[in-house]
Amino acid sequence: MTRYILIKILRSFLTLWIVVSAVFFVLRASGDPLMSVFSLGTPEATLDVFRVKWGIDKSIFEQYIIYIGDIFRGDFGTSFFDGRQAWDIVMERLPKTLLLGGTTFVVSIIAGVALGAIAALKRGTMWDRGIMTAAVASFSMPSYFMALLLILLFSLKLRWLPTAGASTWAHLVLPAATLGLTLSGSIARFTRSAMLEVLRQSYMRTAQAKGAPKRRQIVWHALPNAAIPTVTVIGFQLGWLIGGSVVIETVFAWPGAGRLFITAVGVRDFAVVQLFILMVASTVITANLLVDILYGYLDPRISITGAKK
Amino acid sequence: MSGANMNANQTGSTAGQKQKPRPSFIKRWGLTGEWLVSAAMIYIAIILFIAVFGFLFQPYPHTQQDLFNQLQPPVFMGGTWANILGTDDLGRDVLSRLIKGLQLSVLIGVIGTAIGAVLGSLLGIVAAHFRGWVEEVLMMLVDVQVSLPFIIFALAVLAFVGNSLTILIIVVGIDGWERYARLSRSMVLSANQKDYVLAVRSLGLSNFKIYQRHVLPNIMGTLIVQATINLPGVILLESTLSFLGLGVQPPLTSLGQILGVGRDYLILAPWIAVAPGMVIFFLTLSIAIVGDWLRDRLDPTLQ
Amino acid sequence: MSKTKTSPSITSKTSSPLFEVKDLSVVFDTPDVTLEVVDKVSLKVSAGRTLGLVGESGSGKSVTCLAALGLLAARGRVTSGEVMFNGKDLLKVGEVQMSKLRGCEVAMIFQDPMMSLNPVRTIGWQISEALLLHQNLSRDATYKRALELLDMVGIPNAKTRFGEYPHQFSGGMSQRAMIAMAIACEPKLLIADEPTTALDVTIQAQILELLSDLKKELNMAMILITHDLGVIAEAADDVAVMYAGRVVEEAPVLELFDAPLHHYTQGLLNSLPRVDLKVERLSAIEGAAPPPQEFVQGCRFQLRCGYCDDACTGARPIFSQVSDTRRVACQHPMSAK
Repeated sequence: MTRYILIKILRSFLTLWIVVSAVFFVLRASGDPLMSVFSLGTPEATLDVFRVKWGIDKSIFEQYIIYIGDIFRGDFGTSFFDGRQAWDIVMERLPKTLLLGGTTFVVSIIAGVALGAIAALKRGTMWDRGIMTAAVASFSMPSYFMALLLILLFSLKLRWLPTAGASTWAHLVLPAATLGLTLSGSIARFTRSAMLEVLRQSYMRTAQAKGAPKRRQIVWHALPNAAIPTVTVIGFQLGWLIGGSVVIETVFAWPGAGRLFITAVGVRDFAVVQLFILMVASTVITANLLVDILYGYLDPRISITGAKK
Repeated sequence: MSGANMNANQTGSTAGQKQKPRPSFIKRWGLTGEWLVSAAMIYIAIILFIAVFGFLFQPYPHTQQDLFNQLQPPVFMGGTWANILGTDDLGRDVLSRLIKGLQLSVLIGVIGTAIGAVLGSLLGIVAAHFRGWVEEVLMMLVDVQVSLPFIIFALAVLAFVGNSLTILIIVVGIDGWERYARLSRSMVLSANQKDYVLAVRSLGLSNFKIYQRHVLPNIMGTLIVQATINLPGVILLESTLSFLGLGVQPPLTSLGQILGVGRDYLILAPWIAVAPGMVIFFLTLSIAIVGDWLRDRLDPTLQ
Repeated sequence: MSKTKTSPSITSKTSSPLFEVKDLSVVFDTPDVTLEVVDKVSLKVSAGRTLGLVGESGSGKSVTCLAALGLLAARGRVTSGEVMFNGKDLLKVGEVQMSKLRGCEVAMIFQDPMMSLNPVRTIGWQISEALLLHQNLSRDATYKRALELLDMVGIPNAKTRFGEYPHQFSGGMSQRAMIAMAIACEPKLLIADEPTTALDVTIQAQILELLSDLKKELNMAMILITHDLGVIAEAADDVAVMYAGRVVEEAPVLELFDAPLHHYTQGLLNSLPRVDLKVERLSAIEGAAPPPQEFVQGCRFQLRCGYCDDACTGARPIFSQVSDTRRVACQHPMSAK
């Protein structure tokens, strides 16, 4: 079993390496970064100095080897723009992103699972239709548009909440709500169908025949079974959340790593962009790996290797 | 009800089933699926119509500026009929720009989805056919795709490689290719096990013809359904990219692009952002509803 | 005579019935039409006796018992009747009260034991739950009792099995575990819905024997639902035959096999393969049991019966009480031998 996990981990590293390399080549092959930093009239000599300084005078493959080597030493490059270490720049902004993302994730899971379960239990009623319609609507709406609408309503018209920045707790509400509404919508949708599937199983009837009251049936019999597929889905939503926060941070001027990414991409700052992608990919890959292993723990029918017992 | 019927019921013998009229209050609420699906389909039809024929109704050329008429509100907010949905920061008619933007958004969405579907499905078929290292490579590619949220990848590519319309369409189309690949691969794998394929193959039918005549028709349905699931996502992706400034570039316009501009004028002229936003919202919502309905019809056992 | 039967001198008439269903009717609501699935069915069973409820799939036998215990899924609805247990009408008792009775005074086991056990809970947990819900035992006492129960139902290595999951159990073992759960609180009535249908023939006999032993030990009343006449012959004391949602004949088991009165019963018996006769073809009743949408007026068996006439197509056949222990719903019953 441990051998299986080890293989999975190795595969994950391989995937990560491919992602990082692919991104490297795509970005570096795309042209001269100097032009976004320096104006057209700059003399060639100055440009050459910077070429050497930033190591882009060498061939792509050489650059690549150096890059990989540097990573193993913990050096993720220097920002063209800032002059500082890419690592420092990103780390500086990471906590805010974690705050936003973490809060959203936790709240969405609770809300999504609860609403999805309610929708399943009250199938066909107004509750069900209402929750499901809201869920479908929330993921049909572009998140940035929802953000703008919420800003329009709560910041500009009602003046309850601030629009931009991250200085107070009040600032957290709108961005988290925007992301959270969509995330809990998809979680609710999925929880509902998982619950419906579980509720129609024979063992639910057995529980009832045993004399378990309704509440016990739901909490002790239905939910544990429905949780298994739901947990896997939630794990996969993490990637979506990261992608979404990049946009939302921009709309709300939330000073997180996502917004940093947008700015860095805009000025073609290799080091920061590459580091950000490396971190995001690691996070998603780790999350997927954890979900895989967790699935084996949660379902006694499946061994951790994923085989049916 | 006739008297004879009443008696029959009372003695307990039955004349077959009792017909019960559907409770009318459900119909009155209109929350049954049919109503919603029809509304969604009508909306999509309207959008498609505007996308194709809109230029006939466009009140003004979408680039025509009128600097004396900037930021005029729509007609229902105190404006004039000259500009039904108001004007933007350069005095351009919002409705006209909306029509033009819609064209491009729909175009990119549809072409992009088609590209992704064809590409992904082909890769899946190839992997399933050749197995071995080809399949391994594909699985690795899928893993790679899944490990990075697509929008981040798209932003990086568009910013560094360039964001011409072609590149944009290709990038947007690639989103979700792995779903088609996974689907087509697993379906082809199971189809290849089926007896009728083995039989036909042993008769000497060429592989190409086998796929064309026997395998493809069967998997087509599922792939099309997947395309309808993906389409809203593609449209949303393009609009997000354009909103952030990395998608459709001026003088071209798409719904997301207009929204991006509108963001700066949210207080002064909210209609610039709200109008295209609503259009996108209802479009993706309608496609999702119709897609759900299609899926129910094609295979009601799928919940 | 088989070990599973109770002595014939105790007839169901002399001891008052523990459990009695009176004129129960159940319908299913579908979007287009309301289907009558159970039509004024009456049954009764006394302590220590087994009532065999036999009929084809779709005859309404399971639905009757599910409805009696309030276990119908969303679409089923009781439209009339009473279910008397211990002097109370179970249909009028609220769900809260009912859940106290279920598993405690009345228990039910189902057809597919592998699917009827919660896959993510250990067997031990599930049996303990049955105890937990109705008895106030300490943790240790519950554990001990659960092991006892596993022993009682013939599951070896009870201690190991306690911590195992349903997927680790075979079909027969799962059914034993279900039985353990059901008798945990020594119920007065056990309803077994096709308990052996999903099992191998050899295991079938074991399970039936187990049920009979437990019945004797706990002096339970038992209702055994099945489509298999062999099971009926083996395990039932009294039989009720159901067809298309109605009871068509009731009799003690020996009399039923010896001299059936309803043509459907006769048809069923005829279709049993017999070891002692040489036959070219097994006889089967022509046609098929009608689904609820196709029920006709009058006797629902008329289309397949060789003895029907106009009298059969008019009103619903009423019961004629042939003896203290037998009745049949037929206009032209076969003459008793």
